[in-house]
Amino acid sequence: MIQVENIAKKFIRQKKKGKKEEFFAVDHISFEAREGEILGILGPNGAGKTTLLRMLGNLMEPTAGGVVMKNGDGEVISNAIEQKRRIGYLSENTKLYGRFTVRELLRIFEEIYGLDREKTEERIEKVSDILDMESFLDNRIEKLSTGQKQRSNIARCLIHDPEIYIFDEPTLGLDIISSKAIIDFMEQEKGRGKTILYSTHYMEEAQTLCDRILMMHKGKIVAEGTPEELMQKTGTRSLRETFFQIVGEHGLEESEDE
Amino acid sequence: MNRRNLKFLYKKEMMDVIRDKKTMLAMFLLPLILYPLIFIVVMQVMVMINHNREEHVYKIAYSGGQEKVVEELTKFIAGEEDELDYVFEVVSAENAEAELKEEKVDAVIEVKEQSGNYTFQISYLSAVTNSNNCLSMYKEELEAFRKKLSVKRAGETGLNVDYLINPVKSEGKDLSSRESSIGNILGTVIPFMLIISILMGATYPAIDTTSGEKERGTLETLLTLPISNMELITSKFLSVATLSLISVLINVLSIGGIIAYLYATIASMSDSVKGLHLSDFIPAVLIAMICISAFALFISAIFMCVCSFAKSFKEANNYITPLMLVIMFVGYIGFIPNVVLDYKMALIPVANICLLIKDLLVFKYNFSLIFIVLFSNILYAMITVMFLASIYRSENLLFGDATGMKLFERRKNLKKGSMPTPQEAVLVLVIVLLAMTYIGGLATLKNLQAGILIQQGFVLLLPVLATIYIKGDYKKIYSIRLPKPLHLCGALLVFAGGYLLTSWIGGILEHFFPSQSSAVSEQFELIIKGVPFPAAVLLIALLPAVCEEILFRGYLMRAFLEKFSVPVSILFVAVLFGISHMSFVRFPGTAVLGAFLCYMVYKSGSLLTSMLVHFLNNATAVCVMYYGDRLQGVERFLDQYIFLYFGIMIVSLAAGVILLRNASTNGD
Repeated sequence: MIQVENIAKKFIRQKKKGKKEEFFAVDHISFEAREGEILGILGPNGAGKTTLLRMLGNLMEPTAGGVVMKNGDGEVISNAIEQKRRIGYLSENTKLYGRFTVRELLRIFEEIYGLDREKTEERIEKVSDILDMESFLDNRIEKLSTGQKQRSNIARCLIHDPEIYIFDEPTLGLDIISSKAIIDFMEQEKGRGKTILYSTHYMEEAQTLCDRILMMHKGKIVAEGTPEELMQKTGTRSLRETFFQIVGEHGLEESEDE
Repeated sequence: MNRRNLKFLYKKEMMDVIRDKKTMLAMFLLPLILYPLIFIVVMQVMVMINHNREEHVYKIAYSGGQEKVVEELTKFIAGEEDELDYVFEVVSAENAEAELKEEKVDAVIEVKEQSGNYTFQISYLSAVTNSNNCLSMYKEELEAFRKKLSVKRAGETGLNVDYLINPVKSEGKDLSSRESSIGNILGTVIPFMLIISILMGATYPAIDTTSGEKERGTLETLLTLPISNMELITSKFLSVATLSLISVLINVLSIGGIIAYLYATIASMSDSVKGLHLSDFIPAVLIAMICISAFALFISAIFMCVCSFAKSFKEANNYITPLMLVIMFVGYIGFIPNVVLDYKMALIPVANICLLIKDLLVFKYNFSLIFIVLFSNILYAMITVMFLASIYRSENLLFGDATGMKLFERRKNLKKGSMPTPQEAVLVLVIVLLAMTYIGGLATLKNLQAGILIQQGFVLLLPVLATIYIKGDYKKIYSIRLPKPLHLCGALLVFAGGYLLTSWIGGILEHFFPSQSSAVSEQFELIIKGVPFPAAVLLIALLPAVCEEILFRGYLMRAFLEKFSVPVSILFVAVLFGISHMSFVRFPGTAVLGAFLCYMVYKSGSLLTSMLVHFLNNATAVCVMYYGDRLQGVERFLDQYIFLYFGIMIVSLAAGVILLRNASTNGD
């Protein structure tokens, strides 16, 4: 379980004519992601989703606030490296090493995660079974198709059996078959009691998949609840309409890039 | 740092880089194929040129007159009486000069006679190689012919031939050992080749592991792993260093092979290398390898630092190319005749390695110089690695969006209370140093004391102006407030211990570099000459204490603290403070003092503490200069009880640091 308390990240952004200003990409927000749930994080470009997820994944340090992580026994894990050990992080920025084969990559990651050495191959076989990767397990990653790469990337997140998954737009630019593989995977892991944080621009996907939704705009949470609650509140019939309405209330102009 | 993590990360980095074809090409192709190839081609070309020079039939146009002597000369040349074997063909030409200009003939001779003496006027074309060769060779023949004629004529007149025509003779006798004469020739080329090969070997791995990783988007993947940034950067550094070390090895072997081949060929052709065995080179090669390895570490770290600022391979290449040119330019020092490795040169990176290898190749082993070269390279490597680690702690660099210089922005766009960035602080320091050297230096030539006033004026004024421009937070940058009593006590103790430490360092340096040290004290004596004691205190103690603290512990220190951790900031400011004294014998002492001053300002939160200690430090030095003779008793006493000296030094330093560390901070 992840408890986020008053987390914030300040950046300096370049405005026109070389003018710079400080701003909060994530502006003191708090929420919770529970076990066995998929928490969707929606918002327009520049809302602060990626920055938020990077802080949760311990890739970035928050300017203020913090993340409390608890394992299954309610034990608090505060060390950043220990937290990383329990997280599977996937975003469009986490590319794979093209010069390695999938098997080599997984092996190295297992080694760095400090997993049991005797079961290395066994685990790789298992993961490759789940994601149907046998046919390209020994190919160099640079030679794989986009969908195969994305499956390998999920395998990389999965190899250490994390308690928490952070997926930042994992289906971006994928065909429906590859997207489905990822969505199926998330549902399956949810069933195993994992915590999943998931950001996307595909409203239909979020509507069917997410248990709860956070809508972010300009670094703040502007709405929170189950998809049904949000639709009810706004009196809309789809999450897409809900999104337009809620974000529209807070000014539709796109915030600047993070 | 977790060693297991390091091991696997290192493995990953090595696998990744080794599978890059460009890296392997640069590492192996150049030394193993290209060097021998270049060597063979150069040898062939040289043989060809020589062959051509000897075998070419030179055509000399003769425009008539004095047929008899020309015929005699031609016979002389053809008769090879002087063991010279060039082939000349004398042709007669209608319009000799025109034919020369059209390069149909190589030279034109015209012979005049005056009272039995002949003048050969040789027209030639200096821009044409064959014509040039023809001139020099024909002159050689003429000279031999002249000698023959002289002997003949002297014999005819019954004079002592040798007495008459050889009143002065010169004979060169080469006393340098055979190996050193070979080494001298190699010494100019080999260091340069080695430097280039290390640069080539380190470039691709450095780019690949830093900006390459960023460009390929794998850096973020790597950051998701449960590893610390320190482990990440150490593993990257180790792999780049490994590859550049391997390339050193390959290069040394390749160049060694060429030398061995050269040696064997020369040995078979002449006896000039007899008595020289290849095994004689072993100690030289070993020492060279160790020092070059330290140098390779330094180059790896510096390249990685530069590449870390780039977001793509291309950008990194753009940064590295000028850096390579600078390094090669410094390496070029090895080519300059009469530049030798001395204590000053031994501290200059790149140049010291070139000169050392040059020395080693002529079997010159000066071990104190070798150690200075080795340790200075290790030191530079360590400093750059620390800098590199601090770069990798910065999210700005990892995720792009680095902040530049506020000094170059429009003032109205700047926010109130902003802080200087390290880059602009270093820029201000460079401007201060330039202003001090040129403007202040000119002023000191006219009036020494006034010059010092002007110099310190720059030190004070420029950082303050820069702060005003960026609308800086004065209170934070120049925290001038009363320190707490405990901090003050700590600072005073650090001053006492620090003074003893820096004078001890000064003593050691004076022992090793007597001439440089006495030059420094002469400079000081010049300043205080004819100046009353209070004025000297003002000039040497009070003024620098205030002005330099404003610049270094105020402006620079704050700028570095904004971006770097406390130890790294202290290290940088201390090193910059040392460098700013622009004397290498003063560097260690001033850098140590600078570090202590940084520490006390950081801990006490007040610039007044360091100003006071800086003042006391310099004032003590002035006192010693004025009343040194009265203090001789103290000196003798301390020399006798050296343990007491170190005891006081260590105890007061330790007590001072503990007091500073434990007293509650003044808030920031």
